[in-house]
Amino acid sequence: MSIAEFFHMGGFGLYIWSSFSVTLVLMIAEIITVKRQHRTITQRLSRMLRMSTKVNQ
Amino acid sequence: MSINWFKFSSPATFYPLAGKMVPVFAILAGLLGIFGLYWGFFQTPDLLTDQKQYYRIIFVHVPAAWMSMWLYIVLVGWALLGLLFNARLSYMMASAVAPTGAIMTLLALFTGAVWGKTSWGTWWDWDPRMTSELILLFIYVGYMALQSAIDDRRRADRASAVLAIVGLVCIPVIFWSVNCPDPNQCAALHQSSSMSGIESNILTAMLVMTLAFWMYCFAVPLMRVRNIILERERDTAWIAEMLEVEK
Repeated sequence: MSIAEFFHMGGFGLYIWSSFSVTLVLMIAEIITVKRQHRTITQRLSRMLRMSTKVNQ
Repeated sequence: MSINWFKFSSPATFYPLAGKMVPVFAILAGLLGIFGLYWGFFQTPDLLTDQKQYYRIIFVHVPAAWMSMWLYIVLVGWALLGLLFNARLSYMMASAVAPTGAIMTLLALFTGAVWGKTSWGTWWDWDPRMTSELILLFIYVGYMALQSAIDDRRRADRASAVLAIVGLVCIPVIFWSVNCPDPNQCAALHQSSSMSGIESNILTAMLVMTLAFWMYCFAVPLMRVRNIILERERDTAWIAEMLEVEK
């Protein structure tokens, strides 16, 4: 089986690859979103912490 | 050896534990996914008696559909624990599961539509299974919307937990929408989901992919619950100490 034949999937390549790629893209997007969220929250909390310690000193 | 489960219900204990579990589940999801895809594309027949190569959509469709229902049951389980024990972490777990569940539902619907187009010739039909899956998506979205609409955290937790429990009726409807007692009453386009007729290599790939999705559905909500813990417990001493150390 050639690579072209493999991607052609007997004429259903578009359907099959769109299903698999949308799944992959959504999963990766979800992971990136959650990781970004984590970075934003930790940065904000450390900033707040710095500010409050300054006030206390 | 008995484990003190209540110890783990404290966000301060669970936060680092979840952090340790995430990479394990993520690696498992990746390895199982690669194996499942390899098996699904290279060890399976190209033609079946009733379906052509498009049947391979099954390797993402079925795991996504199963996870969409399973995560909802998990969500309700956490919501229920939250209501019963008034446990903060349970509510946090429930809300951490919801977006992943919604994504799985969306994927089940999308891949189902694509598969429907190839095998039935239509993207969509108001078939009982598809309709109830769409309603499940709305319930997930409604749950998340309700949580963000109420400012008081405790009220938001309780109200959305009640909504989640009421929405549970949707799950048996999806599950039994095909194996309906009287076929004349509910005509279903969706194939019955019996596993007995499946070729063994296809079944292997499908089950491995389901495991991969399952591991993903552990990893991502655990990542998200860490964010939720940070947000909600930000005024506690342990978070301040942890951020001090991380700096």
